[in-house]
Formats: sequence, C-alpha cells, structure tokens
Amino acid sequence: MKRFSLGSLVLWLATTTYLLVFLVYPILYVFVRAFIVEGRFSLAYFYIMTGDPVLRESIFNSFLISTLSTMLTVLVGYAIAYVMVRFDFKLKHVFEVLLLLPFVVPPFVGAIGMIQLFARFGAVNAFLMQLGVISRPIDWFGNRILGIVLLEVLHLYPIAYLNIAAALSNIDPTLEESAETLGVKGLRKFATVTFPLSLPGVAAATAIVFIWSFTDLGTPLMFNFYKVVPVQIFHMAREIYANPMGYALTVFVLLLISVIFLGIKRYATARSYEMLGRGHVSVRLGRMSKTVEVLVSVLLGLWVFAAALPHISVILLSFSERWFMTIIPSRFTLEHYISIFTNDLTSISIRNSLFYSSLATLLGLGVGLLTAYVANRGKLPQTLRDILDMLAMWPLAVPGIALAFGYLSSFSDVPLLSAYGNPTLIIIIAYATRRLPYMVRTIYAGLQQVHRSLEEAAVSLGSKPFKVVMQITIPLILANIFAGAILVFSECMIEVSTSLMLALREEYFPMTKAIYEVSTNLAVGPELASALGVILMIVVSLSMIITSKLMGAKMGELFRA
Amino acid sequence: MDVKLRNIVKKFGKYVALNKVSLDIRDGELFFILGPSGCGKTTMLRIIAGLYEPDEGDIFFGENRVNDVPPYARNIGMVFQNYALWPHMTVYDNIAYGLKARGLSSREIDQKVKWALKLVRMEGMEKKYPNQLSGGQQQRVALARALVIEPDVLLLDEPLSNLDAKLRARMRSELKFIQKDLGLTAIYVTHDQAEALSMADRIAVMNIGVVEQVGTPLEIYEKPRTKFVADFIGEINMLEGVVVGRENGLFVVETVLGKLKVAGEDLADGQKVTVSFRPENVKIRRGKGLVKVRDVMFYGFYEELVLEVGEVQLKAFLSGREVDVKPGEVVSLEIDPSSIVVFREK
Ligand SMILES: Nc1ncnc2c1ncn2[C@@H]1O[C@H](COP(=O)(O)OP(=O)(O)O)[C@@H](O)[C@H]1O
Ligand SMILES: [Mg+2]
Repeated sequence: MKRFSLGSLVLWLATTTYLLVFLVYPILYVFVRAFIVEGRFSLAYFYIMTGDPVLRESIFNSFLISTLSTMLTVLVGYAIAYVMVRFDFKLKHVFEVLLLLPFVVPPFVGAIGMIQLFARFGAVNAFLMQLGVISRPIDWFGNRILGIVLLEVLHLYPIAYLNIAAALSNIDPTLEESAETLGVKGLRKFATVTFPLSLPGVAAATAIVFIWSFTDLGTPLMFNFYKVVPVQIFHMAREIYANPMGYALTVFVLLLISVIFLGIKRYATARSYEMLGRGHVSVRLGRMSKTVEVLVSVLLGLWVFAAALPHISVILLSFSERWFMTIIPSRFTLEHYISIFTNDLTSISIRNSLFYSSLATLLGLGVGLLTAYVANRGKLPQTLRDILDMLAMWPLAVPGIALAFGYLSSFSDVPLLSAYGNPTLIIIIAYATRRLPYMVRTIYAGLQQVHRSLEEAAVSLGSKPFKVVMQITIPLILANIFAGAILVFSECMIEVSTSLMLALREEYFPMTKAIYEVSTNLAVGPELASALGVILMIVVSLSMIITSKLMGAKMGELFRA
Repeated sequence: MDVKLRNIVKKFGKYVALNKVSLDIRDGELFFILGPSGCGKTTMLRIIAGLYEPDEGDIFFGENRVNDVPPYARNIGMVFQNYALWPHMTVYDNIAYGLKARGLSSREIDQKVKWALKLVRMEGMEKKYPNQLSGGQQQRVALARALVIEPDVLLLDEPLSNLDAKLRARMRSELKFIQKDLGLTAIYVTHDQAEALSMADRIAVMNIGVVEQVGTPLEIYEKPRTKFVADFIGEINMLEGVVVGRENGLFVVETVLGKLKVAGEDLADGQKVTVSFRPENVKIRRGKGLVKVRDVMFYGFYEELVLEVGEVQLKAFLSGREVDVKPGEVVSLEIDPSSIVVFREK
C-alpha cells in the first residue's frame, strides 16, 4: 500500500485546522492577553494576582479543596480497588455496577440534594433529632469547603477506583507469589511489592482527581462559595473588557495543570515497567472469612449509599411538596415535573439542551471519525498522525472553564461565534470539542479490532479506498460509533462549566445552567431544579446502559487516564 | 530435605488437574517432573510451594506434614517460568529481599548477596534493574534470589524455556553443577524431554493429571512402563501384534513384520499386544524382505530411514554409514529381542 495519499492529507488538514482554531487558538489568545500588556511582555497581571487578597484566598481554597479531595478520593479508591480486584465475595458483581453510579450525574446536581439533606431544617438534622442524638439543628455546612470536598469525593472516587484497579490487575501475580515463597506476607508484601507496582495507577488517579476538583465550577457555585479559582474565572468572564485578571487566572490554571500532567507523565514513564512476560497463572482471588465478608459488604454498601444519597435526595426533592424537618418529604407531588415544561426558563432550557447536544454530537461524530481514521489509518508520515492524535486528546487536559474563557474572549468580536450575541454555535462547538477525546477513543477501539487486512482485501479486489471505508470499515465499527455518539450526547447534556459560562441570556440557557439559575432564584427553585436534574440522570443512565452494552468490557477504559 | 506427596488431588472447578498423585523425592536429588503442556506440572509444583492448596492428600517436608504451612513459612526457593523479578528493585534488592525478611544484618545480607551473585556469575550487576538485563541474566538473578535464602527445597518451573537454544544448553550444565555443589533438593518441571534426560537424577513422567512412571533417565528411556511414556520420551516404533507362542523363554509375536521374538512376562497365547522398539535398535539387512525404504534422510552423525511395511510406517536410525540403502529398495529388519518392549492390549 502507498504510504502517502493526498486524500489523507486533505483530511488531516481539515481536522487539524478545526483543532487549531477551536482549541489551540483560544488558549493561545488567553496566554497572549495574560502576558502582553500594552504591547509588551509583562508579568504585571500576575503581580496583581498574587497581591490581591481575594484571589490569594481563592487560590488557597482551591488548593485546599483539591488536595483534600484528592487524598480522600485516592485513599477510598485504593481501598475499593484492592477489595474488588483481589477478593471474591458474593456481592462483588453487584458492587461492580453500583460503585459506578456517581457517573450518572454531575456533582453540582448532587449538591442540591446534599444541601437539602444537610440544611439546618433538612433530613439529617431531622433524623438525628428523632434519634435524640442532638437537640438543636446543626449548621453542617457552616464550613462549605467540607461540603464541596465531600461532594467531590463522592463523585470522583469511581475514577480513582477504575485507574487503580486497572493498575492492580496489571500486576503479574507471580511477582507477589515470589515474595511469598521468600518468606514475606501480608502488609510487608503489600508495602514492598504490591503498592510500588500499583503506583502508576495511583499517579493517574491523583492527576485526574486533582485537576477535576481544582477546576470544578458547578459545585462551589451551588454552595454559593465564590472564593475559589473557577468561580473567580466565571465572574471575570462576564467583565473581560473591564478586568483582564481572568486571563492571568486562566493561564495560572492551565500552567498548573501542565505541570501536574508533565510531572505525572515523567513519573509514570520512570515507573512503568515492561512486565517481563507474564506468568501464565491466573490470579488467586483471596477468600474472606464470613465476618470479614459481611463487614466488607456492609462498608461498601454504606459507601455506595453515601454516594447515592445526594442523588436520592434530588429525586425525593423533585417529588416533594413539603420537606421540612422530616427525614423524607411529608407530602409528594408531580407538580414540579409539569412545571418544568410550562415554566419558560426550564422548558426553553430543555429544548436548548436537546438541540445543542444533538448538533454537538453530530459535529463531534464528524470530527471524531475523521480524526480517528486519519490518526489511525491515514497514509501519512507518522509525525503528522501523532500531532493530530495529540491535539485530539488535548481537551482532556483543558478544563471547561479555561476553554470557555478562551472562547468568550478570543471570539468576542467574531460574528456567529461571539457568546455575547447568539451563543448557539459556540456552545455546540464547545460541547463537541470538549468531548472529542471520548469520541475518538471509542472509534479507535473499534478501528483496532478491524484488522487492516480486511480493508486491504477489499482494495485488492479493486475497490477504491473511499468505498472501502464506507462499505467495510464504517459498518464494522458501527457499534463503536453509535456508542461514542450516545456517550457524547449524554455528556453534553450534563456539561456544566462551558454551559454556565457561555450561555449568558435566559433564552439560550441549557438545562445545567437553568438548574443553577432556578435553584438559586425561585421560591420552589430546588424542587424545579431537582426535577430537571432527575431528567438528566435518566438520560445519562440510559446512555450508560446502551454504551456499555455496545462497548462491553472496553467501557471502563474510556474513563481511564 | 526429602519431599513426599501422598494421593494429591487438585480440582479447578470440575476439572481434575491432579488425580491421586504420589511422589517420593529424596534428599539432595535433582528430581524432574516431565510431561506435555497442560498435564498439571505447574499445578504440582505450586502445591509443593504452598501456592495452591490440594483438595485431598498430604505433603511432607521431611517428617512434617506441611499442608497447612503457608508458602512464606515453607523455606523454599522458587524460580518462576517468567522469573517474576520485581521490576522496581535492583538486582541487589531482588536478591536481598528474602534475606531482609529473615531479619539478617545488612553485613550478612551483603555477604550472602555477593556470594549468590558469584554463584550465578553475575558479579558487578548489583545496581542494574531487571529490564536492563538479557533473558539469560534475568534467569540467573531469579536463581540467585531463590538460592540465597538457602532453601530446603528448590523449585524450578520451566526455568530455561524462555532462553534460546544455545544458552539453554549451557544453563543446563550450570544449573546441575550448582545444585550438586550445594547439595540441594531440587524439583524441576519441564516439558522438554532432552532437558530431563540429560540433567535428572530421577524423572516422574506425567500424563494428564497422573504420574505414569518414576525412574532414572535410563530406566525411563529403555524400560517405559506405559505406551504414553514410550511415545513421549524419544522416538519409538509401535506395531500391533498377537502372541502366538514361546521359544527359548521368549514370546513369539505375529506382526506385519512377521514373527518377532520378544522378552516379557506372562503373556498368554492369543494375547493382543503392542510391540515397541527404538529406531536406533533396528538393524537393516539388504535384499529380500517385506520392508520398503521410502526415504533416507541425512543428519550428519546419523541417518534416518523412513520405512514402510503394509500400511505401517517405521523409522530406523543408522549411525555411521553401516548400510548403503537407497529409497525404493526392499530390505528386512532385525531387532534384538531385549530391546523390544511389549504392552498388553485389552
Ligand atoms: N488457576 C487455574 N484455574 C483453572 N484451571 C487451571 C488453573 N491452573 C491450571 N489449570 C488447568 O489445569 C491444567 C494443568 O495446568 P498446569 O499445571 O499449568 O499445566 P502444565 O504446567 O503441565 O502445563 C490445565 O488444563 C490448566 O488449564
Ligand atoms: Mg506449566
């Protein structure tokens, strides 16, 4: 086969241009605006940033939140992963599913439920007072940082669990067995062999969780906690003409993330050992004594319950007519579900979300297919394909707030793309670009299963390459394309940061922004917001089920580093 | 330390991987477990190591029943097929690991590690990581790690199977030398009969889940007790036949080759048997006969003749250039009765 084709080059140019315009350019623009003051290179904004007490406190809080969240998440994730990978117990397969539940909803929707539960006159206080543990309601979230950390941990532990579980099951069992034959067991074996060998997974989990919790905009917003970096950027985005500090703060976030990614990458490369030919022995799954099994199952059950609690609360809230000082609502109603379709703000938002997400899925599908194909199969020099591949994965490292800030500022004077006018197009592009890596990965997974020889066979029989793609390749990876599309669609439906930042006027609000607006503004706000949240949960759960049916075991890989 | 297995049964679900296996391994002996892939060799070794629990049966180290002794308390050294070196530790740390667990002082550890490195001829490699070593070097480190703790029993699971042919041949004699030098009891698992025949004091030949025969290499080769052993070890010709009488203390068996005289015990007339003999024990007589030469293959120090009689193909190995036969010739065969092994058929 030829090593170079003009068609491939054209496709490469098209996809690369898209990524340059909608990913590289906005970020570069932010960097330039942050460092160039009145035509000259300057660190002035950064001096101001470090001098401003509010910004300093915000940065401190963000570090505090993400450090605490990361430590707790990785700790819990490790414990869960260890139990799930190394032991066999009755309810294991049930927990395999239940543990992933937090994926179905962005944490900021859970925040509504959490706030309701722990409110002064909420369910937890009611429960404790009924038990007689306390006599007066406690103000649980007097320290909102703890509330935010709790939500982040409950939302992010599956990511830690999946990454660490992958690393643990990658460890050749004979490496631990040889320690045993040499007289080492238990904790010492864990500390000298198992744990060091699982560190790449821990590192990946740490990076993802830290970055996620550092850049999460929705959760602190719901807690009305403004002194964190993402919320500061969110506010500055509304006044970019007057206040250039947003550029500096966004650059700060991007640099921080780059440092973490590079650090982790260097660390992981140094630590990633070619496992020298795996011993062909299957892992001996540990058996637990009955008591330990019960204990472990109860702990896992409690944890899953805790993780589901905010969502359960959201569901209850969406049906509640009155929920005050009781454990569950005292009166139920369906009224809120009718309201969301009659209320202007919410009904428009449902329509908007469906519209944005559908078009973003189509756009993502187009760009994703071309990207995956050219990067994986294009007849082009390897370097060109690698560049495209790297660009396409880059959105994973660019937090939504940074991308949205870049879009807002760099396209502010561009017709059609300016979020200050009609933001429809830019929102669609933001959604599609953010989820491009998922799309590309699912399609990659399919392409890897389609052996080149199938295509070559068709070519050898005289088919033109384009025809081969349409007749052989696409049909063979249809399941993956479909899975990717559904996954991207549902991820767009629950996209928070770009939605909050790019949709500035009510008529353009998607559901996530409507949830935020409604929950803070109206009298029955939290109930309406919860009803919208429940709809999102259903959409995401359905799409997860369909995707996992289509993707099988490959599903988990999508959420790994 | 001698090792005894008594009626060991191991099941994986419904599949019976070991079915009532008993073995006696003597102190200081290099004992081989030989059998085709999947017959249960690794399973047996892992049971001796304590990495699997048998479903039935007993394991003794010396006088002690060790069924309930976990692997870390058995004082064994095990060399895994994939070496199982820890990639995050240097060669030195890999070897020192078992010593540290035994609470030795760092001076003692240092001495012993140096000793072990010297033993396997890997001096100066302390600071390297396993992925900086060749396959043969990794193999030596794995061996040193198992030896340095002065195990009561050394277990080796196909230790040479990942090496290329040349290196394998060299490691055979090195391994054997080290084992004898240290006077170790060693149990060595392999599917490679040449390895077993050339190195073993004694061999247990396994067929799916059972031990078919235990004996010295010579016994196994010359007096296979079952057809499986005869077939698995070396090359052999097999012919069906019927006992038709006795002559001078030998039995006469009617086969496609005509009447063959064989040694044997207690064979009744009319008994159906399989007659087997090694190709190197076949002598060729030129001229008239029943056997047609199909092909002659030259291998340097011997020639292989592919022979045909009736529907049956036979082989003969001729060393030197004893007889000069050409394909298409008709010859007759002569086989020394004492080199023929007879198996009774039902
Ligand atoms: N952990 C296990 N679970 C299930 N079956 C196993 C396990 N280990 C080995 N077996 C089966 O037992 C048989 C013997 O395996 P093994 O002892 O590894 O064979 P060998 O080492 O002789 O090649 C094989 O059929 C293998 O599939
Ligand atoms: Mg084996």
